[in-house]
Amino acid sequence: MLRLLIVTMAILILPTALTAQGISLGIGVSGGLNLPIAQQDQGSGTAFGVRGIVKALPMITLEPNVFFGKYGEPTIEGVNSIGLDGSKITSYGIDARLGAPMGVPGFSPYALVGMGFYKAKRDQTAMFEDESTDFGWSIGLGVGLNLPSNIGVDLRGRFNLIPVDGGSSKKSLFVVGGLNYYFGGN
Amino acid sequence: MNTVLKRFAAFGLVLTAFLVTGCLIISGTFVIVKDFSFTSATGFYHEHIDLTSESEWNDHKDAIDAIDMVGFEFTFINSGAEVTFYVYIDEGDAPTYTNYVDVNANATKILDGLTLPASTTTTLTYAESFAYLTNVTALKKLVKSGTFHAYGVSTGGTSNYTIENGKVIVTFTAHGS
Repeated sequence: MLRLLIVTMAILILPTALTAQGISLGIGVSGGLNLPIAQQDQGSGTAFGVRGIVKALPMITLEPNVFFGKYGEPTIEGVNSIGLDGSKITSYGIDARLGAPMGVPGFSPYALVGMGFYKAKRDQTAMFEDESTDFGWSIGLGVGLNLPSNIGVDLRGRFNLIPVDGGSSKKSLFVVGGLNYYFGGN
Repeated sequence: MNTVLKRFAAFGLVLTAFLVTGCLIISGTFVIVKDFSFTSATGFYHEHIDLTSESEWNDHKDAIDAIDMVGFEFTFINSGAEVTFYVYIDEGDAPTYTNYVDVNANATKILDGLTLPASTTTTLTYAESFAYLTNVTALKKLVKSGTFHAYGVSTGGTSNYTIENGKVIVTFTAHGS
């Protein structure tokens, strides 16, 4: 149901964006670190993502996104040889960016609030895992620099929180740098 | 600039809400490593494993939501012929069995078919142990209880081997209490 809601929201907003004045659409790629938070069974790894960029309101930009993350080998005190790879994470969802308006040259900070679906997989411990995809939330902060030539770069930290059964949660932080391209122009 | 500050103030409120809900800091995934020494009786090993004596377990014992993973680490010194090694576990308050027949009849096999070549020292690493695990649902249930019996048994050969550096590595998820 939530997946349907996200897709529906994106479809409803798209025509508005397409008819707005100035730059309304863009694409971006980002990459950087995937840092586990309060997850002793994971080590630090990497994250790579692609996103669409859609102007919804003058100061609010929507970013449907897909991220591919990987944790590193955990450090477990007392174990002589761990040899355990970190989990691979695939997430897709949508973030709302508040600030750093599209197509406005210059430097600007922004905030993020988002939601999405997260799938974790670790082949070595597959017998302990189910096939479920979990819903999660994200918040973040970033700074963007839009250049006059429809190109923008940014740096953001996105905190991801995925509730699990029983009241606990899995948490991570993406620290990624991004490169954006905006279609059209003023 | 005031607008930017207002925006960040609003975001700060959202972040505070996350913190207040308790989701951010006080829940997590924890790993404990329990060392144990199998007591040998010629190819039949037993240990009563008590996770409740571990501080990490005690800190979260009333808030454990799930046992995420259980793995093992062993070093075997086999001075005899090739044998196949198994681990069984049983409830912590169950009787202690003293022979393979009783263990096989009453306990749950959770590590299956590890071959120990003749006259060889074999180390089963944490990551390697997952390939030999079976009955993980029962394994997680028994481990979640905090105490359990572990039996190491073998078939074939002369069972002339010793086990060193036994460890059980338990990963669990707990919420804030």
